[in-house]
Amino acid sequence: LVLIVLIGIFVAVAIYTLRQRRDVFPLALMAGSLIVLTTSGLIEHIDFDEIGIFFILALWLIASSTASGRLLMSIVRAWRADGDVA
Amino acid sequence: MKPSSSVAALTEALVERGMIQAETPPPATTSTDRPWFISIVLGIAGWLAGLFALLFVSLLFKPESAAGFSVAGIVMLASAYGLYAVDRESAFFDQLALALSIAGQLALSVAAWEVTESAGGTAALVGIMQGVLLFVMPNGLAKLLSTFFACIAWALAVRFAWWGEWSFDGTRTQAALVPALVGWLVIWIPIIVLTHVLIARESPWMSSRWRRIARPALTGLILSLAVGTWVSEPLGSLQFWAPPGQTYTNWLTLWPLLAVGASLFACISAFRLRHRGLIGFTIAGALLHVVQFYFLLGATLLMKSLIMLAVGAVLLLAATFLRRQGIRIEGDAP
Repeated sequence: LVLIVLIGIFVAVAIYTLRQRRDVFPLALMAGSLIVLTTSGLIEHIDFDEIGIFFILALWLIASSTASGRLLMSIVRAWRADGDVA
Repeated sequence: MKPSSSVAALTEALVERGMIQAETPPPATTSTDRPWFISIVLGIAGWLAGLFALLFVSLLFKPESAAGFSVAGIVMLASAYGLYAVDRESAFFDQLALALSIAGQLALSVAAWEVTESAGGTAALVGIMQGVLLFVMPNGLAKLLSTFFACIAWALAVRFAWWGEWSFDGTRTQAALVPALVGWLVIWIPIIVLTHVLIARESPWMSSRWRRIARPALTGLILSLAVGTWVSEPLGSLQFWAPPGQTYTNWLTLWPLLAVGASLFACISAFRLRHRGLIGFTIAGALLHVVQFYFLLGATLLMKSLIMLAVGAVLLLAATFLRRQGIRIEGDAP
């Protein structure tokens, strides 16, 4: 239930922010939350030895933050090109 | 007109008028101006990834001596440098490089601890390492973090060298008033002066190659002024009561109040740079230091109340003076 509510809130905030086209800050906050949540989920559920866990976590953090950064910057650049954000 | 051709025309015109040097590198034609909150998300993720990477390397290779940690640290820093230098446009390699850089710095910090076995010595060596990385790393975020941690390491080095290290056996730091004031000024006045000079001379360095170092360094200096005092005495705020029968005076308790002033100076500096994110961060830093002042033991609550009253009176006087100055300037304006 918590997961469904969380996903619902995330989707609602994302839709509202993308329609407003004013600031990507809420999306960045969501991206940070998602990174933390998924990292915690990995720690909770994957069943590797210590070396494997640390390797996977480091790789996951790099990959997820890279993807978030690229997505957020593409939105920022698109909105800047349209003159919607400073 | 293409952006690159308009930028070239503008650069040429500025060179003709002698406003920038002919050998000034051309500005980037694509926008790399990343909002501060995205940098924070990437920076924190990079830091955590660096921590996990160091744990992974430690478990895999099991370095046990200073030499082992040094080799691991240098290899990871060299890899980070390579990734930064080879591909400056790739977000993935930037993040990987940041994680490797953080892991390498942590490994070298452990090596410094193994060699010196003293917190002050380690902080001094870390400060030197961060100073080198500021000039060497070919990435803005890496330079910013290096400046920030260099300032923190400098503050910790002075703090530990002067008043000794924290101990967990109940012994409390005791600092007299004058040394405490002098110590804070020795740490932070050079940083305040450097920040002021960099902002005052922004035009010259922005039109030269120094901008690649000066811009992130300036941001790092402002960040360190905003939260540096708190970071340099974090465990002090966790000592909630004095040991039974022990009374002591620790005027390091004044540091957070001085740091409020430093945070406000950082706020003015951020305002001069028209950086809203930094302004918000410095205000949060000032509030954080007020909270730290309450929690740091070393003076009685009555004494702290009196000090706060005095500071409040001084701030009210300053506000009145500034308002009058503003009215006078508006009146003199044509």
